[in-house]
Amino acid sequence: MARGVLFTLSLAFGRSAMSAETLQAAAKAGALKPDGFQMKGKHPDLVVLSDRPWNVDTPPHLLDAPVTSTAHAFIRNNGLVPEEIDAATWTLTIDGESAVNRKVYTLDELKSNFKHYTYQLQLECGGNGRGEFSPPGKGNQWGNGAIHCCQWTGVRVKDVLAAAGIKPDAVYVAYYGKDRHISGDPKKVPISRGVPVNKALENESLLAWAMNGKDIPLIHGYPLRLVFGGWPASASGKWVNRLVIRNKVHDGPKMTHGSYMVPAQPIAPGAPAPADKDMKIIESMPVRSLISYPKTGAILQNKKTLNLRGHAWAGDLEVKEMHVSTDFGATWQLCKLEKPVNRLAWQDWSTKVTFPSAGYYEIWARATDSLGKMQPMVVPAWNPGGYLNNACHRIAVQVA
Amino acid sequence: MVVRAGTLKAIGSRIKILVLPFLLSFPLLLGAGCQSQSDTREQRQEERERESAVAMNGNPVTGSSVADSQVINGVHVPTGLIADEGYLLIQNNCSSCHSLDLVKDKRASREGWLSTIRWMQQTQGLWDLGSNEKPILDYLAKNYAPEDMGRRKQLTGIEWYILKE
Repeated sequence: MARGVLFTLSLAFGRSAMSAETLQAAAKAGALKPDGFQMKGKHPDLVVLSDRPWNVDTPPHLLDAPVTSTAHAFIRNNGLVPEEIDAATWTLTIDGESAVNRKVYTLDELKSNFKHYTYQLQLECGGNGRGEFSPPGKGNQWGNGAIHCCQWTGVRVKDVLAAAGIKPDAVYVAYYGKDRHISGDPKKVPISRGVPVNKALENESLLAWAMNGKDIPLIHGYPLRLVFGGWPASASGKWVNRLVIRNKVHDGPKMTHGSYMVPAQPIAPGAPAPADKDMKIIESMPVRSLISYPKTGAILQNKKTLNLRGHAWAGDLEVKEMHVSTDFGATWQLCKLEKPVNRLAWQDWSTKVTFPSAGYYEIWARATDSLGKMQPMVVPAWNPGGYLNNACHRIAVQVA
Repeated sequence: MVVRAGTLKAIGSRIKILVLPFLLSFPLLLGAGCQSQSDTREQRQEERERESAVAMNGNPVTGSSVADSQVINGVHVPTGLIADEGYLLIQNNCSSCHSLDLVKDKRASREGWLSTIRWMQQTQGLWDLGSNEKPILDYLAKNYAPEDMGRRKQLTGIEWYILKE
């Protein structure tokens, strides 16, 4: 008992780095702290893939609304939720090799020094759909719901970076946050990723403090997070307290060892993972869509028509066309497709289908991006991390 | 909330484990400044070590009354792990840092599991598993092996309902 107590106390007083042996001793003494987050405020039908760290998937029919409510937003964490956040004393530091000046802002200073913007932005986990890869990809076995399109309010990353000054040799903008490594080792950074400077300088790239008009909930990054719509959501750091302007591609945890990378050249299913030098970092996400109404499993009685609706998105691009098929991909019907409310927001689509007879049907949904790329009907290029499965979404329907 | 079966069971056992030792150790807590979690976790670890000792003797299920009573239909109820030889090693070495759901939801070949272990050792602070590495790999490769789903599997697990609109 004494050993456990002492160890916890030493953790509480922030004693420095632990070796693997100490860590193992801590684990054996049961002194590693759990993550205190509870699912309160989340819809009860969300699917918990893991509670340490928290990873929670959203069934597609709960993504029906044009703007995703916080209750329905998926959760993807690499580390443990930070504790004891005081927004009044929170600061954001901007530095790095390619920053002209080091700057430190409190939240109030960020809010008063820079113009505010609100955008609806789609954020999708790079591993959304991973559960369909065979052999399985490494990581959480996501269904189709690791996507949300919420409204974010904050300041433009480019305005904040400009205040610090960007040297001409700048290559990447990366974040550090206050989340804790799942091992409990206070010296370990769970995740520190970023984006090339050009992406950071887009109008829609935000340092946000509000999600759907309210303070961002703790689990989604309170009090400050990045939002880089259209890119793997891991680039949109949560609990952000530092931005670094790098003169090279950022090399923080989860930027290396194959994380958020796919082979630069396609490899056969199950082939060994190439070295990082033969991989490419995932940037803009591929075209994808969901059928959000009806929920899969609908039985139609005394009718042969069905209204369908959902959303479609395409990373940095727009969706040009949306089709559905009720005959397993033999024929495709064009859907009504709305324009995005702003760049990098998802697009709502709707249509009505008529079935020729009673029987078992599947609705397949396929979006086409502005460059003509379509969602495949089968699972796309296999990769060791199980990223980027944008195969068309399917629901099952029976006409009685 | 929809929680996978393993998580639910694990939560159930966590509640039991947390409450009892808390009551037992109440006088000590006053002196220790409310370190209730470390007390309960310590106790849980002691249980683990007892179970682990049995597992290392190569007789994980039948040799221990603790393990026996917690195994139903081949599943270790508190963790949801398949109660095959070596499962206590998984509990002891994996659940310290992350949810066991990450083990139970994963499917990989022996090489795949080994590569994940190496990745955790290189980047996540996992310790050298020593002589436990082989039985851990044996267990994972046998019980959590991938099944070939082909290029796309059938829609399964559909809950049918009558659509009213």
